[in-house]
Amino acid sequence: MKKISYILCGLLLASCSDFLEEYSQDKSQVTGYEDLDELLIGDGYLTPGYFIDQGTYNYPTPTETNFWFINFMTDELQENVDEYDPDWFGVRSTMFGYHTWQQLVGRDFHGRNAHDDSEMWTLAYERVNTCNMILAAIDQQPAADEEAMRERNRVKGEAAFLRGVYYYFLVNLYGKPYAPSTAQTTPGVPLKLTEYVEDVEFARASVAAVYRQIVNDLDMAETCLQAYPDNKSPYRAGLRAVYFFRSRVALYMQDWETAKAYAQKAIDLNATLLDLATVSPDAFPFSRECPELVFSMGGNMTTAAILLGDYYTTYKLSDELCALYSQDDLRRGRYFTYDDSEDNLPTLRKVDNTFAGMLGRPAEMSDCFVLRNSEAYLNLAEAAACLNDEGTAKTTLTRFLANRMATVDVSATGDDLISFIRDERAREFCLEGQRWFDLRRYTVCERLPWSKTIEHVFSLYGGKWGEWTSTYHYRLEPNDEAYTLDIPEEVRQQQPSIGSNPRPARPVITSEDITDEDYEDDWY
Amino acid sequence: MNSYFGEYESTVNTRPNPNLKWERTNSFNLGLEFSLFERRLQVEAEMYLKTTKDAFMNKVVSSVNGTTAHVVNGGDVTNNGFNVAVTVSPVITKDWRWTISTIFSKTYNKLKTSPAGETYELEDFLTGNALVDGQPVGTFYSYKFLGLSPVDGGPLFDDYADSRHQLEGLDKYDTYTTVLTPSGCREPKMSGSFNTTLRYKQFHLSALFTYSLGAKTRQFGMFGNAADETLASSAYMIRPENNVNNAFLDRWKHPGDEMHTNIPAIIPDGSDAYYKYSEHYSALGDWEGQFIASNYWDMYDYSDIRVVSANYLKLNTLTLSYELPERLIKRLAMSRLEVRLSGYNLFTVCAKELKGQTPQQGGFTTIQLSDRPSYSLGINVSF
Repeated sequence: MKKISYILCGLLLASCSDFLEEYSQDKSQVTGYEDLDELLIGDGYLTPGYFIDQGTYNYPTPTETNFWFINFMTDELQENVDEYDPDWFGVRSTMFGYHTWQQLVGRDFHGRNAHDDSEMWTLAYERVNTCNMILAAIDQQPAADEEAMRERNRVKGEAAFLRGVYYYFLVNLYGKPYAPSTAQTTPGVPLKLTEYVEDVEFARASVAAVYRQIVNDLDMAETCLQAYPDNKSPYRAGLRAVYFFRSRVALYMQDWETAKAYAQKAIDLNATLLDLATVSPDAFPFSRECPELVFSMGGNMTTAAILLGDYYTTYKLSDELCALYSQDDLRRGRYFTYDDSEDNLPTLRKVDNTFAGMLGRPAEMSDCFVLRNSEAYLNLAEAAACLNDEGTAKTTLTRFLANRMATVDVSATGDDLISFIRDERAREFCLEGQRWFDLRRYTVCERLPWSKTIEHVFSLYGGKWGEWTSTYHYRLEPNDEAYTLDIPEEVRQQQPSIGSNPRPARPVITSEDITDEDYEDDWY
Repeated sequence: MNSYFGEYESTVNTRPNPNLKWERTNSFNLGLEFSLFERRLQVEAEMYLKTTKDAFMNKVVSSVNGTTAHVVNGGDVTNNGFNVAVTVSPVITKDWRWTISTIFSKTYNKLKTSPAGETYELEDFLTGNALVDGQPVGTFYSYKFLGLSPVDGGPLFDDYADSRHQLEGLDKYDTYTTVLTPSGCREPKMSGSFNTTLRYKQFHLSALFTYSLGAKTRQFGMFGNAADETLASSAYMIRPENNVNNAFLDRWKHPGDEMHTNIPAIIPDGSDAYYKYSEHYSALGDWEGQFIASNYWDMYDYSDIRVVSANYLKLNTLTLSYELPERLIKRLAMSRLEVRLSGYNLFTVCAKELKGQTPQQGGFTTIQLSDRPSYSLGINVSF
């Protein structure tokens, strides 16, 4: 009897430690790099937005809008002022703070809270933290053979690339433009590189420190993605995407040599350009299969604000943008066209912009982060021109423009050449999330600083039928401090020590009212 | 399966928290049971001392972390208390028996570490969830009401409106402990029940009372739902098609009424005074300090003038039963037949300002009907 009881005790005591081990009943843990790969798709890359059909009598509702605000602050879009309110899903009042460069971008015209202005900040930091977690866990994942090691490195490279992209967005939205002489002391955004939640008051790192981090991340991505020049689809980052982005970052840092070198590396790998002469005016030039597309992230919600059709166009392409294209430019008619309405509104056609095409599935090219082969050519040309190497700049430009213009004429020199390249950039990359960042960096470019005045309007509609009542004009001065967004209100309230960016209040320059004599005659 | 990428996707569920440690609780219990005078007096007493170290606390962290919710090992909490149950039978004779029993309990809890300055939001202070150094756990705060304006009958508060520069730059904890005033504790200091049973021959009469002393509560909000989490109530909830609190019958109507009433006037959208009360200075765009209130109507609902004592004495149950004697029911082949008449929630003695509001759940929750009395008549039969 005693022996039996001893054996029973022994058995019980032996299994106790397992009993106390922690496990979860409904959550799964990371067991391999494939799990981290799935995590990249779910929480790493931006979720592309699209419109959900709400039936015949309701306007479609948008899902993620990601970083589309940067397209509305530039000189590319202009509000469509019409007799009756053309705003079909309330975008005008949401955009008021951004479109008219207000001091507090989250407020509407009356000063009330329109939406949470910390959207972009929290979105970027959520993704940054996912990348941090992946990078911290990736090296411990088992990799049995060569193939697995390469795959594991691929996941690591993609996570590093994404972290670089999000910090690029953060520092260009919330920090002043990078000027090599002052970047060390200009406050940027807090750098979070650890994977766990930290209960501290984050301090803003300098703009130079953030860019250095971006460069380090891209270097790591470059080493890890050596085996994958093109990843599985244009929506996943490969070596080419790293080269392109590295060249762009170097351009922003005014590091012309590096920009030129990486642009050249990218062209050496694959230099196909979409020949616009072969694209018919009915087709949409950019799609998943376009040979020029290297990487795109996010959906294209900006197109919705500039829809085809006369009654529902809240914003239209600005007159300044349309005037940039000369008559024999092939991009006229393919990137944008004039619609059939009596106002002849210019509308964007880079991606499918029909109502039917946008419902239920995301657009195939993003409006906030796109890397295309054209960018390599333009980066190379701009870097070369800023280094005063006009020969390279002109040959590259000619090669690029052969696919875009019916007749190519590159004869400018010196500063004019640089301005021509900048205009070319504006023409080529309209509404792809580049113009705002370009306008910012031109204000501090040491080789050729340049800035312009931009005027935007905001209209109010009222009355029984939504008739136009008044329009207010606002102006963005050259080198205005409003090129930098202020740290979001919610973040500043939660942690006042994070500081803020100076941003002036924006006064109304002029206004027109329905009672003004001239307007009564025009509309009625 | 994500169709855009053509591959499977997963998302992050819980973020790493490597610094989180186990909560450790030490507890010590001591109990005593005895009876005296041939079981006429029976006493059961119990005492407990519980100390928790590294208690879990929810904390709001910077959104730079990718999430704002975070659990930390917050501090030390001590929970001490005791229970005493006493049963006394003063009268025991052949026909009469009277028993009284009562249970009494009290707890003391204290937080020994003070929380960081940004942990608690305005709502936590107003509902008693904020832990403030030196105040008992469960203390809730209110705005300081000064009186009604003699001009338009709107509520006036001591909210640093004239010296608001003193509040600029303060963190949440300092702002709210300065502007708001502690209004008492949500938890009672003493609570318990007592039960009395009287038996005369075949009749039984028993009553159960519960009582609570020392807690305070808010009256229900007058201007919209005072417990609405977004604090978005405002005077425009007062519309002809809505019901309003009948306290409005005593509201301020003419200058001079502020001498004898504390209910503010109804100031509609079209009146000149509307904008004075519809937005608080701390909700406007140019305010450099913490958010204090959205508008003056919310402040009234959460002010100290609306705080009342939550002491109560409640008759929970009153039962009168008659058991038929055995000789009568033996013929019906029953072993027991009892007729019982009961009344539940018959009356509650509490502060008269509550006007029917249940003292146990005050203005911290949505408006609810108080417990209604109910009666039942029943027969209990055993074969």
